[in-house]
Amino acid sequence: MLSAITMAYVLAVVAFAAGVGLAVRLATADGVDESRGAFWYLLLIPGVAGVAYVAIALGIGSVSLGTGTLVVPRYVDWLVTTPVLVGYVGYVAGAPRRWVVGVMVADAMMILTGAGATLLAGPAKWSLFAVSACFHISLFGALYVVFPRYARQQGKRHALFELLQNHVGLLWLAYPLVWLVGAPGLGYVSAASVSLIVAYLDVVAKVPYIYFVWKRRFVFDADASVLDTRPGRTGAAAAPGGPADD
Amino acid sequence: MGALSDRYGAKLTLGYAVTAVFVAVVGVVAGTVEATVLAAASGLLALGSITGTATLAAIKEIEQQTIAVADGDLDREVWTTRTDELGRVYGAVDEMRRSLADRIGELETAQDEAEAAREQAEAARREAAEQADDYQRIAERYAGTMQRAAAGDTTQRVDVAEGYPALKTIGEEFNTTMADLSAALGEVESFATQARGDIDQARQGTTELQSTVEETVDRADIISELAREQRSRIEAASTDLDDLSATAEEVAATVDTVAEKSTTAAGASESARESGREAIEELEAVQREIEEAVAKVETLTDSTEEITEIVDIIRGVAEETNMLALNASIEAARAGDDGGSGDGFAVVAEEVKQLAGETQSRADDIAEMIEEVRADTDAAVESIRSTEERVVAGTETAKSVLTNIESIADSVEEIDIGVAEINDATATQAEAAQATAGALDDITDTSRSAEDTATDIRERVSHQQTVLDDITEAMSTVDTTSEELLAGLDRFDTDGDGGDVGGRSASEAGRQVAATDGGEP
Repeated sequence: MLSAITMAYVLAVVAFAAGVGLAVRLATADGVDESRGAFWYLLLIPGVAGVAYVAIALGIGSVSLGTGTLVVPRYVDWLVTTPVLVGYVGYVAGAPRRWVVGVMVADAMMILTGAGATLLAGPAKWSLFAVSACFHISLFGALYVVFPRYARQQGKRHALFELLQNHVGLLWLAYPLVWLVGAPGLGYVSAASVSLIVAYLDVVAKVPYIYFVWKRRFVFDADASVLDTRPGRTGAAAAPGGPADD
Repeated sequence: MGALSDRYGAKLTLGYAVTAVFVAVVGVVAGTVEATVLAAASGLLALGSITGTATLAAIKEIEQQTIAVADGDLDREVWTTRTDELGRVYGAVDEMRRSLADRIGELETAQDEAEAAREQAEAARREAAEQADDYQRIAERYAGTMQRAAAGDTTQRVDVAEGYPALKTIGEEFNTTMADLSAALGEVESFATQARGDIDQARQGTTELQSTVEETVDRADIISELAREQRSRIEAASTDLDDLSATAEEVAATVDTVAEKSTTAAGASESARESGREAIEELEAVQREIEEAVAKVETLTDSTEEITEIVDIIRGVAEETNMLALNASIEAARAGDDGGSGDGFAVVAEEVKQLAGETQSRADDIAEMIEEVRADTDAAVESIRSTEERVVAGTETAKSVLTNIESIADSVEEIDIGVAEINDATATQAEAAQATAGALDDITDTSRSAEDTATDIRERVSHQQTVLDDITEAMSTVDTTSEELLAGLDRFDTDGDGGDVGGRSASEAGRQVAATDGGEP
């Protein structure tokens, strides 16, 4: 049992390592406008996740407080990476800084209240879960109501925005479901199984995200206001080296 | 990897396979239905968040690009990094965009061309209409001028229209024609006037000529009479001359006969001289042969003498041999007394003795024969000598004969020459007489032809008189015609002061011109 979970963590670390490689390559690639793409921030996503999973695999940072057990590295990972994930969507949409910062704060609040709900029990647990769910809904509001208004003026960046928007919006539905059905919530599924599922979700939520940006890295070119996904200056669209599940 | 990225189905299959493996692993590890269901739900959400969203994004992207194309932005390439079926849809759309762009470009070009062609056609139509108006205006102008010209005013000229080659040519041609017509009419008038003057002069000339002709007739009659007299005189002279000619011919004939005979004599003397010469040559040849014969006979005499000497030697040898045989027979007889061998020896000696005797008798025969030959030779020499003397005498005689013949021949030749000269003289005389007669005949002919000519001249002059009368009459006719012509020319105004209208209706003619040249445009 433990060995299977450990194996899953190792696979996750390997996947995040590949994600780090892709992010570095994205940030250092020729013919892309890094200052416009802000690709270095993306390195945080697989980087922090990879470090966190190394810690989880080594059994570091599991805290039992009250009724629940909190795997601290996972929540630290989420607290850093998920605002980056959702904030970058806002950046691609070309939303003003306040909206980007706002959505990142809401995301962080969602993680923090979720962590609280995990540790607490009874009505307090469900109250915090409800708060967390509200933050999640507010994120949906930002993603599907606020950001598109700006994204429509973004020319070829618009397609990347929609891709990331749907990717994040759809996949993140799984997390509250798993929390609710699993050990932190109703307890129908054991903590170990939840760990497996969450590891899978984490990999799928972070590595393909980097790959999507990599595939459309040329949308940040100087003439990005026009509807064209082609490389503007170099004309050399490097073949994708990352996961092929596009 | 290439096969995977090229095929959407393969990607999808991989996604489902990964999801299925994940669900199975969770199910086996957890061992509970709840965990498996939760894993399945999470796995499907994860799968959808990748495949569904990526596909959706790609489709929206192509939708936007297609809308851009549909909105008319045909210059931007429809492009993606995808290489699967969806990527190929991009390619197809791009192909469509390019095709549309080409087609629209072609259409725009065609439209521009059509517009240009339409404008060109409109311009051409306008120009044609203007031209038609111009044509009508110019034609009407021409018609007016031509009507006036037809009315007789040959000073009329059309104002030549520039810009229309056909009308310009018509105008120029009309003006040239009118100029030519004016010039021609002027020429006719001056010609008619001059003709009348010339005819008056000619009439005077013919009157003078008529009196000259009458004089000529008289003179020709006189000439004719004189020629006739001259001819009769010449004919008398000619008869006399003919008699003279006949006499001369007779003399000539006689001389010819003499000449023939003289020539025959000359030929005979020549052949006699030739025969004499040949005889002498023959005699001389005989003399030479005789001398040769004498020489040969003398040589023969010498030879007989030598033979006689040889016979004497032979005879001596025979005698000695006989003596030897005698001695031998004596010796043989002696030997016979001594032994038996003397008999054979005696036989040989006898034989030798007989041989010597025979030889001697033969030599004697030869000596006799030679003596006979000698006698014959001497007789022959004697005979030949006498013959030679006679031949010499004959030759001398022949030579003197020849000399005589030659002197005869010379005389005959001289006679011959003389006769020939006489012959020539008489022949020349006869010819001269004949030639004179011929000349007289010619003169007679000439005189006759002179008479004929005089008569002929008279006749011709008479005929000329008739012709002159005809000419005078013809000139009167021409004069009348010229007068009429001048009267007719007055109809035309060649000076520009307006002519009177005559003959056909000029205005009617003008209308006809206008109807022909100024027709519908």
